[in-house]
Amino acid sequence: MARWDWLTGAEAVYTRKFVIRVVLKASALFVFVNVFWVIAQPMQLLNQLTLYNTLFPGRERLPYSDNPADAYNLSIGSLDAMFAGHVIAADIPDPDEFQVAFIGDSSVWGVLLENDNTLAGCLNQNVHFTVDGRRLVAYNLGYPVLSVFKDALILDRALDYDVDAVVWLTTLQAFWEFEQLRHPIVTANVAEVRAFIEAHDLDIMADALPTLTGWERTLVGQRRELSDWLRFQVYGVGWWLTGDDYASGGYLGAPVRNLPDSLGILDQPQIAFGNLDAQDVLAWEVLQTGFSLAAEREVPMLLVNEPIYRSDGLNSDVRYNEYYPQWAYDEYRASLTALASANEWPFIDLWDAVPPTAFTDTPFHYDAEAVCDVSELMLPHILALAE
Amino acid sequence: MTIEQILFFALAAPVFMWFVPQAWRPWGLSVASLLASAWLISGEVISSLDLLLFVGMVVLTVVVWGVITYGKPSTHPETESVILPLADRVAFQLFMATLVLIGCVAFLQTQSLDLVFLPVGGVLLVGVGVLSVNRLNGASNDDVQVMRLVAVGLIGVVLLVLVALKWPPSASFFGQTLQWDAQSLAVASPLVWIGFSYIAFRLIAVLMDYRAGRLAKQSYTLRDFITYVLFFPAFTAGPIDRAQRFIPEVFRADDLSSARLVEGSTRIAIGIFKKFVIADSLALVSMSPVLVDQTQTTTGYWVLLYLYALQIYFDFSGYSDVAIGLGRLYGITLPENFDRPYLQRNIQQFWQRWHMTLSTWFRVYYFTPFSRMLIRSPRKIPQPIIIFVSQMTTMTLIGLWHGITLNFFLWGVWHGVGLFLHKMLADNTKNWHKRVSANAWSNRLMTMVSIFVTFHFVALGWVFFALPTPDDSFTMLARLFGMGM
Repeated sequence: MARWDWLTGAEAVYTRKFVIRVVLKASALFVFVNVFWVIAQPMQLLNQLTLYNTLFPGRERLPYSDNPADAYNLSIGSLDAMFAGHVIAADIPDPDEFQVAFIGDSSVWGVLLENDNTLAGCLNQNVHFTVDGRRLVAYNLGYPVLSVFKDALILDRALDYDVDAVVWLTTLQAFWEFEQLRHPIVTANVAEVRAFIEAHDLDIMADALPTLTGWERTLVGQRRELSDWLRFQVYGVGWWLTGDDYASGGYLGAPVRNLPDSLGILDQPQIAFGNLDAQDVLAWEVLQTGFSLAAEREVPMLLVNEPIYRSDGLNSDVRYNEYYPQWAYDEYRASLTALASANEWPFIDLWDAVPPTAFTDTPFHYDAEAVCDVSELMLPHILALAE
Repeated sequence: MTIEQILFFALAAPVFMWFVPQAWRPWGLSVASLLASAWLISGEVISSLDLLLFVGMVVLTVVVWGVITYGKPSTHPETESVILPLADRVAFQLFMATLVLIGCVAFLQTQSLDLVFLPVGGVLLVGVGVLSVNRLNGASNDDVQVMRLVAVGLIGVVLLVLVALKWPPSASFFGQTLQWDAQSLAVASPLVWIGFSYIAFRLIAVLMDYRAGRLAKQSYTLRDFITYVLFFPAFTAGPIDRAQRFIPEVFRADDLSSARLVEGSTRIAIGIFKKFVIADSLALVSMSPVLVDQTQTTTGYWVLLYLYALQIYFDFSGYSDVAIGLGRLYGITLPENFDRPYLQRNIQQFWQRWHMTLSTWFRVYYFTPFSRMLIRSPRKIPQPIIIFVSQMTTMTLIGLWHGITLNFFLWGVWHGVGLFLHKMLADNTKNWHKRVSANAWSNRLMTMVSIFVTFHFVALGWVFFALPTPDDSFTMLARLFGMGM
């Protein structure tokens, strides 16, 4: 019969006292483990442990998914876990390579696209050499959230991996000052975010950052993070076997062509018409901090104003798309260009580089062919960073 | 069972066992089984379909009980002394009160009066009928003969319901037809009757035992019979116990000793870990049609296969551990269901240790009577053919019990062929086996090779079990051996 003798064997004598001792010891152990957890906060350490890059190949883009079961991928907040699972954590600097990290939003990450069809993927499909003979290797470190602060956090991490250059793609929607701290990555890395804000003296409302309650610091309180870490490791099998890390949760349809007769900015009713800079609503300082970080490490960085959808439908004379009225976006472009010029940052403005027909589901996402076209446009500027 | 339900049942056990007097525990278990099975079928909100299925289950149980106890006063399961028939009437009234309670909960949730009348009316009608004809002073031989025929009819009814549930087209048909309330129509899906696969086998077992005269001495009370059929720890995933073994334990209503508490809670903890940590994690990346389509290397296909083999073992044996552990806490020793099945030397041993209560059930109620019938057939049938036909039909029926699809059929055939080949091979290599076993080293090597081969035979069989169509399965099998990539 089943081998449960160790549990049910006659030699084991279970008395009421024994049970009471077990219950007391188990309770004490439970309390001890949770107190230990509160003090040690081992999730930080655990998030750095990974099966990727050892048992499974590292992921080619940061973990993100609306549809984990089909994508063998999930959105996890911890930057430690995100980077530990990325292929960049495995690749050691190679003097024969020119390693370039791409940071930015969902258009860089490649929503609705396979790995090979992202900006980094397109560049890696072909062999490109710098003038000094180094082979271009691109890393996709984009993440589907529009926030320059999030980009700066990722940039800070990317620089730790001794990349040779960085390409930072951005757009107006990523600059709203009051949106910078509202993203899951920020709330999942509060200590790091707070330290980053303090270290760079950023004018962002760090006080608005949540602080973990005592309960949230216990093992029980962090069971979700623990479960996500475990699931992320398990999904490594699926990633290893299939090479897939994305499954669309459902195509949302093309960007809105006929636009509202409004000069307002989508979801930002507090922003009045005219002079964005005067309203002090754009987080330019974060961009400057990012360039300072790169400069400190002597890593050249290319700033790219990413392509947007330009509707030719109703009210397209006052708006470019559902997000941007023309007055706001034009002003942003002018400011960005001026800032880049004043600081002598390498900069290219690709806002109109993609035809409207190539956009897929939002004013920021475009199809695989257009992505490769954009990467070709960027290529000479990227290679120039090596000079 | 969800983890919340398991924890609720586990935490309720000490309260139940310590605060309910021993004499009242069988009553408590019975009522608890009724309430718990309604909860297990419906989850948080009771729909009209849930209630219909629940009522159907109770009605079927009462009717079967009525048949197997027809004309016999209820007896003590061990001493066989007569128990007052009044007890069954009290039991029936108590169950009616329980059903009213369930109906009221359903009414509060859905504001539909149908959901009160359905359980109460349905069971009242059937129950009163059964009780009024059942307790006659003895039954004539003719009555017994009639009841045996009724038992055969009831077996047919249970099997028909089982087929309707397990055959996807009929399950879809009934799923749509039976969901008449607007809320359910929006999510009409194939009919799933949680627990019925196991309930059906318990009912069929007692009906066959009754028909074969194996229950001549026993006459179970309605209370204990309800507990046997609907015992909540084993409601959703077994094990399948036999009434002759189970009911005396209910009647005994053992105390929750410290030993039982330790054994039960340890088994539950182990089961929860196996099911909810290991199996559920493996389920994220084990063999599925999508993964079979997307996997890129032969090694990858073997990884999928091994992961599925582990997943299904930890899933099922984890559930069994939970059921056995809960049973222990409530004073019932349920039979073991798994005993290191992947470490067996041949496929026959595997089936003696995988889902043991199911394979025992089939051995007792199908394989043995069927092969005996073939042996006694007036036309002399060669023994290998008897073995082949008996094993093949047994295994295909076990396959079809999981679902009436071509793939479950093929899975059954796979194991039927395996068992037959093993039997033939074992019969013809006895001397060679003796020689090999005589030497410790060669015996050890033989054991390792046998375990390896048996495990891989079983694992390859899972390809039919896990994937929905033969196309998927044969694609997977081909890719496992580097073909069709």
